[in-house]
Amino acid sequence: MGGISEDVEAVVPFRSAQRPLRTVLVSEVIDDAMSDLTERAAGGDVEAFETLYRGSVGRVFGLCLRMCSDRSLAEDLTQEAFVRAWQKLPSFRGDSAFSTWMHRLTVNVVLGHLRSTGRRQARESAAGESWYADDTTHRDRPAAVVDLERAIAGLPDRAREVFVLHDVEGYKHTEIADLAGMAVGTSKAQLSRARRLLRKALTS
Amino acid sequence: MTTITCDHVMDRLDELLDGELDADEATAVNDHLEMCAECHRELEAVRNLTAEAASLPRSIEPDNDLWPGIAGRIEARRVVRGRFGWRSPHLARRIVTTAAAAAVLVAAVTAAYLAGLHRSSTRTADSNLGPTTVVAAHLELDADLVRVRDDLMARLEQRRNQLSPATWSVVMDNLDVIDQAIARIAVALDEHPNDRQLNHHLAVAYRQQIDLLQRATRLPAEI
Repeated sequence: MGGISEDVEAVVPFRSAQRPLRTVLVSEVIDDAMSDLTERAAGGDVEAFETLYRGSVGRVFGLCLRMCSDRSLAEDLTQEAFVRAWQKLPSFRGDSAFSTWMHRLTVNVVLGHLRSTGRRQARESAAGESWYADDTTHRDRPAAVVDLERAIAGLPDRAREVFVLHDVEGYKHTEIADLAGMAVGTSKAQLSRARRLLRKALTS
Repeated sequence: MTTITCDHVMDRLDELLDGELDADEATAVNDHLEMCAECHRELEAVRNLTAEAASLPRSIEPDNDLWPGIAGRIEARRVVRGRFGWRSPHLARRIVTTAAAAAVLVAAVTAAYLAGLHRSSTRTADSNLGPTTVVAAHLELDADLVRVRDDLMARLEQRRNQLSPATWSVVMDNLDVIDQAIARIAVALDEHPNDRQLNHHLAVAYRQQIDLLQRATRLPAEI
């Protein structure tokens, strides 16, 4: 092992015992860079904010698209989420990573939009006519993934929202209930409904 | 050992997989699953579904670059960002209403002050100093409004040496008051984007600010 690595490892042995040193250092560099970008953006640096946007737009758009199942609306909501983030960045305290904060903010934007419009009723009647029906991004993806995405997109709105948040994004029922303004029992019931409908769709 | 039915197990599969059954019930359900091939197949189906969902790519890139639209909206609101945050929408509404009213009053008083300056120095000047109809055409777009205001600010800045410090101070102080009103309204609009009253307040505040700037840029030289 080279001298530099040994020196660094001697300084941070507790870290190297848990994770490979290279991983620790790269992670710390990224964390520092993200922290710096976030701080600069919070201070009004648009270029720093654009860098944050470039690094997270895929995650934000993917979340919007799966939750609302409408590509055009997902683009609008993505823009709204980033504008909202820009507005709120000065109050971002750095308790969590920017990506975590941005993700939660996006969920709020999407749910807020879906609750404030009458779109839900239209979606219920148009289930299946989803972004995946005519989308081109899935052409190189495995058939099973394509089928699953299509089935998720065809779910009723509330069942889809809970399924995406719980099974795709990893939120707990208590978090979903808090974000969506529903009872924990309702979240569980919607998840069961979604899974049942998906299994039926995937086996038919 | 408690005997449970297939229907009962089917109703508990999601909670079992999510680790949300209490220990006794989990044991009973697992005992049933060991003996019942049909329920076991169902469990595997749900398990596979959740595993596939968890492995879906989280990131999907949009077809279009959304940054230009975001940057445009950010630039339009840059002046107002994050200066006035609050939690209560009711409080926000009350403050905004007060702020907008204050902005309108301040602008009206300032306009009268500036008009007085104008009348005392010339009798041939245009007395109709509020061509807000021209500005109103731009009220739908924040970016256009900011551009109009910035243009007027630049013109006013060029005339700074021609105005007395007292006049300059009155104009700047009151522009700042209206700026604050716009800031408060814009933040409230983030929470209630479709609120017609808030949109009206914003339009009025912008109109007042631009009108004030137009009056100020037309003042005769004092120095």
